Amino acid sequence: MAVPPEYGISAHRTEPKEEEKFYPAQVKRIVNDVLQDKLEGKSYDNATAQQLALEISNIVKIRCKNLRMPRYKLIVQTFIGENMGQGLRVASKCLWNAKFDNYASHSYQSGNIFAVVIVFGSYYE
Amino acid sequence: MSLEDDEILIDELGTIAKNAMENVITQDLYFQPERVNSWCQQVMDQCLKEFNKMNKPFKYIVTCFIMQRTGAGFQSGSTCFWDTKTDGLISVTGEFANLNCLVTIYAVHV
Repeated sequence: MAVPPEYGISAHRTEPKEEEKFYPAQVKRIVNDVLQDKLEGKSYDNATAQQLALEISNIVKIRCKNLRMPRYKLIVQTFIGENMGQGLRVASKCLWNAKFDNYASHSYQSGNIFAVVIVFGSYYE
Repeated sequence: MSLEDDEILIDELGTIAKNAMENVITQDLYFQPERVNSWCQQVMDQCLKEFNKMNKPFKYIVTCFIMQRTGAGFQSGSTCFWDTKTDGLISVTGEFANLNCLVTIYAVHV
């Protein structure tokens, strides 16, 4: 039976639309807002830092889901540490499809606390 | 336990990362700002090369965190919005004389 012309040939999207891509600048703005909000005036406390890290990750993930990014898998990683003048480096490398997958990162420090948040967006092909 | 063509054993990824860490960061290294970036890149490159050889339909994201040991505390947390049946993450730490190292690997099914 012939397929009616209005149904088209295939319904599987292999690429995200322009307005549904992962745009790092938007995500960076969200991360910036969340970090300012959660860490302003706080100091590092070993007992609460783990919970704070998870809270920040959760809030960033929830806000990113509100952006239009269907079919994107999101990973949010938060590092929180005590600022004692030590040296440190956070780096990441990915094996993915560079056309649609992207990441956004932001760091924040004030007083004796520092935080780094990285958000990775991977398109579900 | 035999794996299907599109399955991975997350612990295997962790072992690969631990080996890469121990290859690159030896006990006598102390924190040098001009070299720490190349250590991070080496650890991640070794990890990704091994993962690529496994030839599985997965995308991999590796993050590497190297910090000077001064007694400062740090915590790391992640949340993921993905398919919990097919995707996973593993985190390995290494404690060396003058450095702390944390490598996290996220494996996302294509």
